[in-house]
Amino acid sequence: MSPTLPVPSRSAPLTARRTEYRPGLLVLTFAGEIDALTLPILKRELAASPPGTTVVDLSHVAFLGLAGARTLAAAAELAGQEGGRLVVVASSRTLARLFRITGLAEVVPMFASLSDALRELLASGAAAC
Amino acid sequence: MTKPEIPGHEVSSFAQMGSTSGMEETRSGSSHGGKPTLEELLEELVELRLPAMAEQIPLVRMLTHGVVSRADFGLDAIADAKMAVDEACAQLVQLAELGSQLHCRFRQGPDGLHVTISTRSSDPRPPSDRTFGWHVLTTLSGSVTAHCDVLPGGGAGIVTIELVLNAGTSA
Repeated sequence: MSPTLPVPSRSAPLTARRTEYRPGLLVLTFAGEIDALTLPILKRELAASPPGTTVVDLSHVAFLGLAGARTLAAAAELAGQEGGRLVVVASSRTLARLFRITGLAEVVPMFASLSDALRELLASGAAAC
Repeated sequence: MTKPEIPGHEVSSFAQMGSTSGMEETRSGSSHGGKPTLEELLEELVELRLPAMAEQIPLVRMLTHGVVSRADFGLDAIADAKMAVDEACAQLVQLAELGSQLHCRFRQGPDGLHVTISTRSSDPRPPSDRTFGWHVLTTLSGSVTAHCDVLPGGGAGIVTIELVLNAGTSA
């Protein structure tokens, strides 16, 4: 696993990195902006996630539009139906506000940091070790 | 204000849109008693015209950030404004006729910052007010309205979304 995150640029305004921490526990780390233009990248990465628990790390996301919030809510619902789970890491106050305003906070569990998310998920046995 | 050297983009600022009497009022209200300063002009109206494409929306967000920051919006209100303008633009881009422009206007009013975004559409109907996006727009803005002006000859029209943004956030 490479510790360096791909840097978003004009040609790639949103980058994604996939890290499997344990079997059945995937972390998707996004960097950049999630809007109408980059939404297909978010959708593609979520669709390619294997069954189990997916942590969507938005710590490096500068902007998340409503379409992105809707996509995350739909993905969380789908994961739940398939016996899995989707949680979000949103360290910024702006993203936390968006989740509250849109009602997404009631649908998708949210953590302030990746370490908090992993600690709780591993403790609750959400991922097979 | 000089136009940026970006093809298909136009940024401009005016004292009033098509109103000489309005311009007179602006001048008479000037602290210099004569020609209004650039700052006073910018506070009146800022416009951006650009291709109605998803790729261009980040530029509108950047302008929104700049305009609302100058209008003394707090951090939460700035975030709300960017989110609201982004969603309004995204809705209009979906309705836009191929090759049309997105026309964004920012004007300070007594009740808040008025943001008017419009585009030409071959299916001229305002966005539905029953969607999740519209519901959130109403939460993020002081008020939000949409209307459509059918162009002569029918078949096409100008779809407009107008937001009123407040420095004190509503959410």
